[in-house]
Amino acid sequence: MYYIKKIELQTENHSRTEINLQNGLNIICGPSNTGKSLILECIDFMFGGDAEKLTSNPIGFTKICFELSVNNETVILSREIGKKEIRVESSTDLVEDGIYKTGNAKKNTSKLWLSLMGINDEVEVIQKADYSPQKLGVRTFIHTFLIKESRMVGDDSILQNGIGFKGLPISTITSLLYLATENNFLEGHSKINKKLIEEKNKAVQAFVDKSLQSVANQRMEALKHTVDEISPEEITNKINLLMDEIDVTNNKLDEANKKNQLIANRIFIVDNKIAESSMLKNRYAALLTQYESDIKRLTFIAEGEIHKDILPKIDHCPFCNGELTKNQEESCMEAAINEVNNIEKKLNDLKSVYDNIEAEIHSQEIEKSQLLKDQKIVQDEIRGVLEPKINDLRNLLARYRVTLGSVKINEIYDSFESTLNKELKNTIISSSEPEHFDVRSVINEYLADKLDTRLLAILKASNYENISSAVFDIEKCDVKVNGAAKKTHGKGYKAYLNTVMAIALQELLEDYNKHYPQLLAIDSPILSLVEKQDPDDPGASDKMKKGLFKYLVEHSNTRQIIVVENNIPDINYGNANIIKFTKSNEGRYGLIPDYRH
Amino acid sequence: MTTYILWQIFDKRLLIKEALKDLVVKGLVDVIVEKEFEYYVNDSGLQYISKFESDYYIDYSTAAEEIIDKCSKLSDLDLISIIELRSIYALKEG
Repeated sequence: MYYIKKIELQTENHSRTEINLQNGLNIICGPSNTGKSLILECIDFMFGGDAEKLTSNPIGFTKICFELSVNNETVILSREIGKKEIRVESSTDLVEDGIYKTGNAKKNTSKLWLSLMGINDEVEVIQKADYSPQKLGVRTFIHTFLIKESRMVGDDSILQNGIGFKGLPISTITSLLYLATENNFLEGHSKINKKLIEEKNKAVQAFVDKSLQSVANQRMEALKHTVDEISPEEITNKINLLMDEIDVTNNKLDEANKKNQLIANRIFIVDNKIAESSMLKNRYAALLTQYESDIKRLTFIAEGEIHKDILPKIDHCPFCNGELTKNQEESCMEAAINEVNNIEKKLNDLKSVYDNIEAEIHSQEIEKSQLLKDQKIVQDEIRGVLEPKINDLRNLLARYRVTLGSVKINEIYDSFESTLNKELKNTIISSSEPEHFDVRSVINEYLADKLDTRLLAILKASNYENISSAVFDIEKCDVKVNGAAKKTHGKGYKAYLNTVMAIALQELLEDYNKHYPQLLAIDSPILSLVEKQDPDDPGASDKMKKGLFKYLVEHSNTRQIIVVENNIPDINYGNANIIKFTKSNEGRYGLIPDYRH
Repeated sequence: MTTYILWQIFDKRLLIKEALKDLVVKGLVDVIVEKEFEYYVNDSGLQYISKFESDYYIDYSTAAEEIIDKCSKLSDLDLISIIELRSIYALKEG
């Protein structure tokens, strides 16, 4: 909790003057040209404003000093006229000693005042509806609670920082919303400036172009391996036909292999038969030779028998010379002839059998030869026709599959290209059309209803004339009373309503209980409110003046209020600090006691 | 492998002995008895065999001539020795 305890002004002639203030209500009243309004100028100057009014003043101010009470500790601020820095001497840890510069310096006056409001981190708030951010500074919102006379009677909302601005004061609203909620509404949103968007778009375009080029190259590389430019359906049909043909050829190959096997088996059997027959043939041949030898031998025996007559007649043994007895020798001729006949019969039979076996062997040889020819034909069909055909078909199938794969790859490339182009379009469109911060929606959600209630309550409490309704007009960011916009009223009512608006906002921030300026400084809230000649309510304006000041008296516990006014209504001000400038020799003449206008 | 059987040697020897005896008795072969028996075909024998014309005879006589040519200078012991050696060799061969 802080408040301005004392304002001290130094002039060119080194004279000093001071205004002592308190927490709660402070009223500086007196006639015009007594320097009342300079107090708000001093406050504005210490909040980082320029010193136009102070330097143009003939008094010749040289330095302004503030004594702040911060949690009952003292902090001295001093700023020389024409200098853009505030010297701070602090006896509390809440405020750091040193020089605070105005503007965008790292250690600036905003940092000083924001730290007094409990904001120590650097915060960004939305500056424009395209989410352009700006640093939260005290100058973005202090004008709402520091209302000089010129703005007090103006048509514009006190939220507008200046006079004659059009459109919603987004930065002021977002700053106040941050004070109220600690939400800067920037999370998930980022403002990209136009040049950055263009650069981003160029980069995206370049990336997409490069990607498309790469895709085109890859597509060309992939299509190198395909020669047939046919549709995927045709390729699928051809693959199906090929697979059918491969099945048929495989079946033929199986059949041919089976046939080959059967022929091989048959050749084996025939070979065995030929071997058996040849063995028999050899045996028959041997037997034939045997028979022929027998016949020869028998012929030889018969030949000997035929020439037996010429054999000598021997009576005595050549060894012992003994007489030999005559043996009745029988002729073997007949037996030999019979034997030869028998053998010839057998020989003829054997020859017949031999001829048969030879014919059989011949027949088997012919069969084997035929089988070998058949086997060659089958093997030629297998090795020369079927297997090459299957290989050719499989190669063709593989080629079609590669082609089909290429077609699929082509489709993927097409899809990828399409996606890239689509994404490019989306990215560029989204970049060229930045997000829009809906300030009205946010006001409606966080401020409007609460302000409506509070405005009506304050206006009723302050006896506003014929009050029946009061709403916060979002489009104007201002109060609308009984359905009528503020600008339709006279200066006095405008000042009155601006004061009420400032009080309502102050109270609203206090309700949120996060951060609030703790200061309301207003110049001439009732000065222009002249008495209306209303026959029904002849003292309406007076009631309103009293009502407003009474409200201020009753609602100044939580903040410091500094009101500058010419004449104040006659009410009980309680503990209010009332400083009167008399513009006369009685009492305090004005802000500078020794100075005379 | 040979089909020649060992016992046939002795069998043939007996046959030859009987055949020689028969040829001597029939007067086709003469025998000279000195230290040992010496046989030779006599004129009757030569006349008798000159009548033969059959193939068997021609083959037989050709074979006999070859044998005589190879073995006439060998003694009985030499022949027996050769036969025995051949027999043993045949046995070894199985």
